[in-house]
Amino acid sequence: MKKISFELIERKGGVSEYRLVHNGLSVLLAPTAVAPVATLGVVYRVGSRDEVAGHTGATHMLEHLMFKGTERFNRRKGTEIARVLQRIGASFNATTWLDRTNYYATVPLEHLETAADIEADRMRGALVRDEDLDKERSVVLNELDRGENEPFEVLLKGLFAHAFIEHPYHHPTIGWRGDVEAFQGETLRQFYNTFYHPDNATVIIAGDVEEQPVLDLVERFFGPLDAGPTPRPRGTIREGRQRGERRFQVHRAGELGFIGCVWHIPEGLHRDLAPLGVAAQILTEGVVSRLSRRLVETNLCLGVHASAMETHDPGLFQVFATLAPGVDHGDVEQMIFEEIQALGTAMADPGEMARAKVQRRTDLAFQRESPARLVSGLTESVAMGDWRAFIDEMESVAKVGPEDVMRVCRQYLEPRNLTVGWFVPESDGENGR
Amino acid sequence: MTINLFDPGDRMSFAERVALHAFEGGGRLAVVTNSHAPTVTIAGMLQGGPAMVTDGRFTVPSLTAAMLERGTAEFSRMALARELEDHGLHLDVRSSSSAPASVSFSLQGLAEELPRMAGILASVLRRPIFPNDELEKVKERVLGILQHERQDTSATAFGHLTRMIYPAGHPHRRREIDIREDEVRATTREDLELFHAGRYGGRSLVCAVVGDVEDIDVETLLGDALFGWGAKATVMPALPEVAAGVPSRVETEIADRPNLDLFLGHAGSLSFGDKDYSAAQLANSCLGQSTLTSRLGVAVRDEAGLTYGINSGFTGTLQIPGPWVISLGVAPENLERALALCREVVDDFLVTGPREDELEDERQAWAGGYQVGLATNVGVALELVKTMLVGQDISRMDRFPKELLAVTRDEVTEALRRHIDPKRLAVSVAGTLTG
Repeated sequence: MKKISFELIERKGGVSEYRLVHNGLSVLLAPTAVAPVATLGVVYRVGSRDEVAGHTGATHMLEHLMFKGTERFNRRKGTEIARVLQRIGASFNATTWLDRTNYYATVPLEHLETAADIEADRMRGALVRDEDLDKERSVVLNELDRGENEPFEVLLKGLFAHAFIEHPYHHPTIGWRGDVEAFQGETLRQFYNTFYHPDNATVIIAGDVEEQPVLDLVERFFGPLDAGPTPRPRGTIREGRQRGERRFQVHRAGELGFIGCVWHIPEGLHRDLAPLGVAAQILTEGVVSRLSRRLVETNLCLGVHASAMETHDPGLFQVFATLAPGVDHGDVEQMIFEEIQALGTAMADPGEMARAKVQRRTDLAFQRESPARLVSGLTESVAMGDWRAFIDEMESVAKVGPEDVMRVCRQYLEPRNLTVGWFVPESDGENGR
Repeated sequence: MTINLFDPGDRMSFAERVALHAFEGGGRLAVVTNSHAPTVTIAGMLQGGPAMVTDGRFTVPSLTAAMLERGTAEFSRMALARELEDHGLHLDVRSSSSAPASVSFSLQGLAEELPRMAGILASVLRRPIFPNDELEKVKERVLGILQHERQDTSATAFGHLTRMIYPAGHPHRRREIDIREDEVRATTREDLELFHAGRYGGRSLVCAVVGDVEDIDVETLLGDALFGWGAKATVMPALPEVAAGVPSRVETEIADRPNLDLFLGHAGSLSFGDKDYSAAQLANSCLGQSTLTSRLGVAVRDEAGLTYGINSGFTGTLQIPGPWVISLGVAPENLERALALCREVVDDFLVTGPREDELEDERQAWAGGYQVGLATNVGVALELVKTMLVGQDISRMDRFPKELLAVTRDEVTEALRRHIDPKRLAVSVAGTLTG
């Protein structure tokens, strides 16, 4: 009698969740027969929120070093990970964010096994060598410089650093420059040995696949791995309540001004995220949205964008505006506040509510069309703490009423909870307050 | 019907899955039914791009395309936006940089919206009215974007590179921002109306519809709406001759930009329909397609750690060959080292050509990547449009992966030496060079 390797946890919305009993690996399967391809993703529940002072950027640097190889997959043998993946026509990459690190590859169906082999091998077999760190450090420093070239990136970094004082969302995912220049290989190996284990990971597979053969595949490659040390440290710092507006400016050479306004909001799984998401859509999604009509259609701004961050810990509601040349930061900021205040004092009209919902419905349909986008959506929900949030999203949005939108705007988007940043180009620095 | 190009057990070829329609007077429509997702993508191109002007005012086609969504006989700017957004539709119309003779468009939505989508496309492409107030808004917006470009290291460096390579009047020459600003300011509604009437037409239209739709419905809805109207397809105006080019270097100082954007390149001669197209692309793949595994990537990023990203590629291969370029970001203190290393890698590659093992990797990568690229409705639609635009048979989509796998090392080496010439490389860099 075959031993039971997988425990079925739940089926929902076309996705099945299993757990590999032996080592605690979570597995999400989302069969979608759109095309003869499959996407395999691995999400590790470790992100820049797990870094401490002096080691910022370690998660991201480790992500880079994960491509440097294992004993089986390395350049010396002509089997370096990127080359093997490229050889099979894979579209692949890895990303690091606040709450998670993920690796993914979309491959022709017949090569799914290769993708699984690589991910399982580097889950515990990555070399993480000092000599690789030495070379990769300057690569990451160049990546950091590229970000410094972009006014928006500079502003974003400042907003997180001012809005979060205690919580590690304070520091950028890529890390502070001094830390990136200084940290040692041992730091990364310690990070790797703490967080890169099957019981801290979720494997997600979407595409033209059937469940049993894919489960067999996952067991074959990930089954031999052992669970990691427990308990695993996970930051529990809570950001204290903000009790007054915070404000900063960055003056640098440039031609255009930028404004960023952020407010603290609850964690991604909180029920208020759906109305906050609808509020963001009403404010800036499409030409007829309130801030687009007020700022972009009047040529005061080249663009405006709002979003409600969906994160593991309490995050931020964000509004960004790119000012047209010569436009006063203060004028645009005032208009942003007026529109947000209006949304908090009168109910959105039925047309706005219906528009927001149909846009979301269409976006989700397109997300389902592509295995890569399906894996990406599930990845972010796993990072928040529950993959089912991805499945429930449409239902959550459908339930949002105009009174919910009004309530969350009044509750969260209020002045004492606000951080404002201005990027002031030197050429019109006199516009700064 | 599942689109399944490569399953050997699948009896139907891709060409057999595509319903093709050719319209009287010109214009072609391809339809693929894919009922696995409730969506539909419409994508197309027609001859309305910058290369179709005869007076060198390349801004006119760009503004014409930008104004299509700003008012039509049936919709005001805001009414059109409501019609799209109230039904979850995404419309994009733009002058195409990869195909400078064309304007490209795409419209995506739920398949149940197909009739509405057909009506919107007909209105936008055929009956724009170019309202003066909207034109002034678009001009102001474009001027703002140009202002932003002054601080953009990548756009600045690339612009200079094209001006070293291409003569005045060539569509791949990115003109100085001052000139473009003056041209934008001087453009009138009459300029756009004239260009639209003279160039836009369903007779030059190639369009693909892929999604949960039936061919008969698509042909009925789109046939009359989008085809057989307006200007006839015409040949592109003659292009100014491009000189062979000599090595040259330009440095542009932009304050507060710690990452330098560096381009090395020369005029290209590769077109999609060329016999050696696959061989030349494979040569470039070995040299610089991937920042992680190509020769340039391994030498400059992986071994020397000088850049976060480095790539090389042919541009503009669909209609007018554009430059072949290497692009990378680099810190000021590493500039000369990176530049020398790039030259060394290219020189060496020209001498040796690809090794058989690395070429085999690239053959497999392209063939597999082609399959992965066709994993979504939009991927299939764009490939169909590209294939029809250059006048190739749809069966190319079945043949292409096999043809790639059959390209020999000698063919690749020959194509490499024909299309890439390190002695002609112009160099352009922008950022904070002086510290």
